Amino acid sequence: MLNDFLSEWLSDEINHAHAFQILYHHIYHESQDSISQRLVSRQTNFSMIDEFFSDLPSTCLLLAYDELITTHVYHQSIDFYDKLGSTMFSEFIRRLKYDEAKHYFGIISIVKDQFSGKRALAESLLNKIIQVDDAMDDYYGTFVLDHACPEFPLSKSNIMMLCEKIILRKID
Amino acid sequence: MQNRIESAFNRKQLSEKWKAKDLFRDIDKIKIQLSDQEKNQLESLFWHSI
Repeated sequence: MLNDFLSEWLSDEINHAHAFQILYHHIYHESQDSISQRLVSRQTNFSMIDEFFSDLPSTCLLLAYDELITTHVYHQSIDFYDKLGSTMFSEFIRRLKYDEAKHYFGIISIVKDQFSGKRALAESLLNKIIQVDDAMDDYYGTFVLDHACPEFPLSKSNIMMLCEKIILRKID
Repeated sequence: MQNRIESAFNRKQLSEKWKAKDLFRDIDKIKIQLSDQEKNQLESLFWHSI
């Protein structure tokens, strides 16, 4: 079940990255090779989130959190893409949002099994994830918790409310 | 406006698999007009998205 989810997730995320790369090339006229090179040479640093990779349930919870927040970020970006002047971009942002929501629903069913009867543990871990996300001063190429940009539209209180309503209630 | 777009995309069945190169097949025919602020916003979002 997890392997099936991860295989589809990876394929979607590679597709999303490719789409962003095409869009970036079109807007900024930077060659796709140059963009790829900049991505490869980017400094990565996982030290702030290492602890969430120490066991499978924590990693799945981290992923569920990240997919949930990304779905909401894309939802709030719909107006911006609708104004770009082509239905192509309107379709793009809606497809991204749909895929991210699909990922969330895929991983939350796994999280639900892993944390069955362990709501307090899930809540404690989730609070740690939110704290780390909030404390990130930049993005270090970690793929998850990529929210440290000025345009990030959700406040910490919005996020805590979402997590309570959308993640923890599934574990009750 | 957004409701019209939403229903159009519902009909397109967002659940179908899609490929970036197919979706953006005709992107070169489109000229995007962005303010400097919007360009900066998109650039920041881009590097945080992948």
